[in-house]
Amino acid sequence: MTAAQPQVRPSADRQPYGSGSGGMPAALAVLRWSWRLLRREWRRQALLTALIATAVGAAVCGLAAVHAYVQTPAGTFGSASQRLHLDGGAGGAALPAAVAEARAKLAPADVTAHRLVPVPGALDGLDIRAEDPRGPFAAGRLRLLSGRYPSGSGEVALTPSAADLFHTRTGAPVVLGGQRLTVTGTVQNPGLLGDTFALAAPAAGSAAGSTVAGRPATSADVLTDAPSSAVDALRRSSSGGAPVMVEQRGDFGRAAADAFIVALATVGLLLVSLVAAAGFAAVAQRRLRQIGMLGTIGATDRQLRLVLLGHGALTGAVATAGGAILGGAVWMPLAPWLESAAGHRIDRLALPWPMLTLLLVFGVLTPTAAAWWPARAMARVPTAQALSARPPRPLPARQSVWAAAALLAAGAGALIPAHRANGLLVVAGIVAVVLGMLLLSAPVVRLMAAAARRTPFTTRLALRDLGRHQARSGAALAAITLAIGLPVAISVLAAASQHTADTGNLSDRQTMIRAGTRDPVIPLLSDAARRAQQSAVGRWAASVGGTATPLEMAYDPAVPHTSTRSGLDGQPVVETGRRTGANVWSSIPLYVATPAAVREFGLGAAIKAAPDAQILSSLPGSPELTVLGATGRDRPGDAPPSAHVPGSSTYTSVPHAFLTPAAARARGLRTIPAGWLVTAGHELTGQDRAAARDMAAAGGMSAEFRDRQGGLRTVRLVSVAAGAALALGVLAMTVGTLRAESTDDLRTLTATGATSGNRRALTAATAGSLALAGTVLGTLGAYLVLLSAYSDDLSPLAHVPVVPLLMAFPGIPVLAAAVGWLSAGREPPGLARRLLE
Amino acid sequence: MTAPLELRGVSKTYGEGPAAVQALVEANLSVAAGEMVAVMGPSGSGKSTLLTIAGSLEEPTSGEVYIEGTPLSGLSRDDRARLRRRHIGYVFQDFNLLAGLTAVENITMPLELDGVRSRQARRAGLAALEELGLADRAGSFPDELSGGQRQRVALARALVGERRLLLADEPTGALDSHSGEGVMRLIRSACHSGAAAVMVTHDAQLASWADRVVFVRDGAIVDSTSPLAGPESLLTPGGPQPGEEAR
Repeated sequence: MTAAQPQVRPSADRQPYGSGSGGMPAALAVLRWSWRLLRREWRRQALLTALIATAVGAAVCGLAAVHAYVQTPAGTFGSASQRLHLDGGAGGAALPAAVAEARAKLAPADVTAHRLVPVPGALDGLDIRAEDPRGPFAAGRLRLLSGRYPSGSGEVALTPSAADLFHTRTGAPVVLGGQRLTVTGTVQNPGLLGDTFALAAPAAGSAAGSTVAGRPATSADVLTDAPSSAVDALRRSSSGGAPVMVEQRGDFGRAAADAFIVALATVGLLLVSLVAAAGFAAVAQRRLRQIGMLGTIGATDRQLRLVLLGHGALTGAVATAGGAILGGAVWMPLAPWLESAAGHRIDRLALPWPMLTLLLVFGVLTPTAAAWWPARAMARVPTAQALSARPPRPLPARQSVWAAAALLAAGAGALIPAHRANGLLVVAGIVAVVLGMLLLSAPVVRLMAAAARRTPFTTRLALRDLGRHQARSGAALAAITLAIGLPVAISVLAAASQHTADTGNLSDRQTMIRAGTRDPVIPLLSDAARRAQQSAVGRWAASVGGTATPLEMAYDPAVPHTSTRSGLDGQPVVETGRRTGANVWSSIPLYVATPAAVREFGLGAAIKAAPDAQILSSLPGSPELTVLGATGRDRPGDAPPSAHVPGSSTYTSVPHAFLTPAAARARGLRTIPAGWLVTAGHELTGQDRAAARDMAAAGGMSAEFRDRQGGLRTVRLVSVAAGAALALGVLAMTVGTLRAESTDDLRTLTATGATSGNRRALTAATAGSLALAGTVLGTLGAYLVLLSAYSDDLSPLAHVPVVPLLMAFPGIPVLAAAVGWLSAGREPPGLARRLLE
Repeated sequence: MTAPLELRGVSKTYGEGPAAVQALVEANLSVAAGEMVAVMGPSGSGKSTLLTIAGSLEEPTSGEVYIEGTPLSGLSRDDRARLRRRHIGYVFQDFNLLAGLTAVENITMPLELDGVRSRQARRAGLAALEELGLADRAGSFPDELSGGQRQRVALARALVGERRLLLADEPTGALDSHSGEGVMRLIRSACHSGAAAVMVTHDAQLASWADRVVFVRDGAIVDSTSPLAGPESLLTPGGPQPGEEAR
C-alpha cells in the first residue's frame, strides 16, 4: 500500500469502548438522531402534531369551560360561609326582632332585606332588596353596570332584565308594588346573572334589615361567618319568632364537576393517545429500514425503541405547547359567550391550574406512551427484515375479539345496574365499552381485508393494504371510532334533553297564555272580562299570523274558592299525578280534552282506541295517574282507566295530560277556561314576546314562552362536526401515509396502464372504507353505552338526532371518499425509478 | 488463534411445509484474521443469507455460528447487538448510512451506542475520516456525499473501534469502477491490518481481490478456491500475495 492511499485500521488502542450498556451517551446519541429525523420530516409530522395539538387544545378549553360553568357560591353567599333566611311571616311583623337578634349574635353579619312585588303579566314577582354594596360579605354579589347605587328610600337600581320588564331606564321612574321610585342605575349579581331584582338602599338605624325602600320587608338574608354553634343557638331561640333557614356554603357541584373534568380529560387524552398511536405506527413503518440500519451497527432493542419514544416525547412536547396556546386562544374569547349560559360572570384566568398543569404533563407523556407499542413492535422486527422494510406479520386477531367481547359485556354489565346514578360504575362501564370497541378495530380491519376477495380491483387492493398495515390502520380505525362515538353519544343525549316542539314542548313559535298564573287556581272573572281576554288573545295571535287554541280545565264545585297570587277570587282546578313516596305526590296540569284540544294535540286516535279511558297522557306509566284535587289529595286510591297519547314523556309546558269530558261529567266536575296555546306563523321575536306580555298584563293573564334551547341543538351539530373534523384529520394522516408507502405499487400500476381514475378509486376506497368502519363502530359503541345506561327507561333515546347522525353516516364516509378521490389523481413522481431513501 | 468467524453446519429454512425454502444447507466456513473471503454464486443461491446469519442479523435453523470463538446460539438479542457493536462491521451495496446524521456522526454512532462519550467518540470518528481523506466532509450529511464517499464513510463506520470482522454485501454494486476500486483497496488494507472480511459479490474481477473465493449454489457451499493474483498483487509488488498466509 502506498503512503498516499487512504486506509482504515481497526485499532484497539485508538478507540476506547464504553461501558457496553450504552448508558447516557447512547441515549443522547439516539435522541439526537430522533430529533434530526423529526426536523427533517417536519412536514410529514405536521398533520400528526396538529391533530394532537387540537386534541390537547380541546381538552384545555373543555376543562376551562367546565370549570367556569359550575355555579359559584359567591352569587348567593358573597364571601360568607353561611346564609340564614329569616321569614318575616304575614306582613313581616316578626322580622325586625329576628334581624336585630341575628345582628347581635352573629356579628359581623351582612343583612339583606327582601320584599316581593307583583310584575304585571309575569308568572313570578320581582324581588326588591335592600343590600349594602359595601357590606362585609357583599363581595361577588353586586356589580354596578351603569349609573350609581341607590342612596335614598325613593331610589332603586335595576338589573337589565328588571329594567326590560318595566320598560324603564336609568333616570326614569318606575312603579314597583304601587310605589313610585327613581331608577339610579343598572346592577347585576355577577354570581347569578339570572337573578332579576331591584336594589334599594339599605335602611339606617333600627329599620336596617327590616325595611325595603321605606316599606316593611317580608324576609331577610343574613350572611355570616359565625360558628355553627352560634347559628344553632339563634335557630333554637327564634323558634317562636321568624322561621330561620340556614344554608352552608357548599361546593355547588364542584366535586361532581371536577369528576366530570377528570373524565373529560381522560377521554381527551385517550383520543390523543389513539391519534398519536395511529401516527406513530405510520412513523415506525417509515423508519423501519433506518431502524434496521441502526440494528446492524449494534443498537439494542431498548435503544431502537428509544428512537420512536424520543420522537413521541418531542412530538408530544411541541404539540402540547401548541395545544395549550390554541386552547387558551379559543378560551379567551369564548368565556364571555359562556357567561350567559353559565348564569354568572366568568374570570377568564380563574382556571383549575393544577389540573391544567397535570393535563399538559400528560399531554407530553401520552404521545410518548402511545409511541411505546409501535416502538416495541418495530424493535422486535428482525434486523434483516427491517432492512428490507417489510412490515411485521399482523398478529392474530382472535384473542382481541374475545377480549373485546368480554370488555363490552363487562361495560354493559356495569352500566345497566348503575342506573346513571352510580358514578363509579358509569365511568367503569364507559371505559370498558370504549376499550372493547377499540380492541375490535384490528379484527375489523382484518375482516375487511378478508372480505375484499369479491370486490372490484381497486377496492380489493385498498382493503388488503389496510390489512397488511394492520397496526397503523387498526390504530387509525380506533381513533376514528372514538372521534365519531363521542359526538354521536353527546348528540343523542342532547336530543334526549332537548324538549322541542317535535317532542311536545313549546317551540320558538308557541306561547302559553294562561288565564291566571301557573298556580292551579283560575281567577273567577265575569263573562265580559273573559270575552275581553279571548278577544285580546285572538288579536295578538292574528298579529303574529297564528292561531289560538282555547284550553279548559276542570274543577270540583265542592272545593271552596281561594285567592290567586295576585289577590283575585279564584277556583282551584283538578290536576293529575302519581304517588312518588309516602305522602308525596307529583302533579301536573290536567286539561279537558275538548274538541279543539283533540284536534290540536292529536288525541282522536287514542280516544278511538280506548273509548273507556278517562285520562289521556303522554307520560310513561299512565296507568298510575290519578285525579288530584287542587287543595288536597282527595282520591289517593283512584286510578282511572288511561291511554297513552303522542307527546313529551318528560317535562313540558305544552298540555300533555287530558281528562275526557265524559270522565269530567262522571266525576261531577265542571270546566272553566284556563288559557290559550298560540302558535305563531313565524319564530317569535323579542317584540312579539314583549307585545304578548303587555297584552297578558293588560288582561290579567300571564304569558309563557319557551326557554331558548337552541344551545342544545348547537351542541349536537358542533359536537358531530368537531368529531367529523377530527376523524377526517386522522383519516387524512392514515390514508396519506398508507398511500405514500404504496407509491411503488402506484408506480407499478401506472406503468401497467392504470389511469388516474384507478388511482383516485384506490385512495377513495381506502379513505371511505376506514371512515365507514369507524362510523359504524363509533355509532354502535355510543348506542351500546346509551342503551345500557338507559335500560330502565329507553324513552329518552326515542328522540333520534337525525341530522347529526346523517352527518356521521353516510356523511363522513362519503366525504372521506370524495376527498380521497379528488386528491389522488396526480401521477406518482419518478415513474421509472425508486426515489432515494 | 481463534477465528473471527466460523460457521459449523449452518442451515436456514424459510417458511413451513410445502412452502418451505431451504436457503442454506449445512454451510461450513472459517475466516481467519487478516483473511479476505469472497462469496460468489447466482442470484437466490443463499449468499446474502450466509452473510446475515454470519453477522447475527438472522438466526440459523440449525448449526452454530462463532464470532471470535463465542457461539451465537446462547446469546440474547441484546447480547448479539452488543457483539455486533464490538466485533462486526457491515458494508452494504446501498450504504445504509443513517439519514439525519453527518458523516462523522454516522461513524461515531456504534461507539456512542456502546457508551463512549460524544466528544471522545467524535475524536475517533474524525481520525477515521482523516485516514480516509474525508476530513473536510465530516459535517456533511449522507445525501451531500458522492457514492464513493458514502461507501468510504460506511467502511469507516464498519471498522471503527475494535471490530475485526467485516461483512460486505456487494459493497461496490452502486459505485462506478473507479470508486469501487478505491473501496476495495480500503477493505484490502483493513485485512492487512488484521481484520477478517467476507464479501458477497457477483463480480469475478472484485473477487480476485480476495484471498479465497467460496461458491454457493442452492444454499450449499460447493467449492472454495484461491483466485489468481489480482490487481492487488500489481499494486503491492513487495507485499504479501494472496494465498501466501498459512491457514
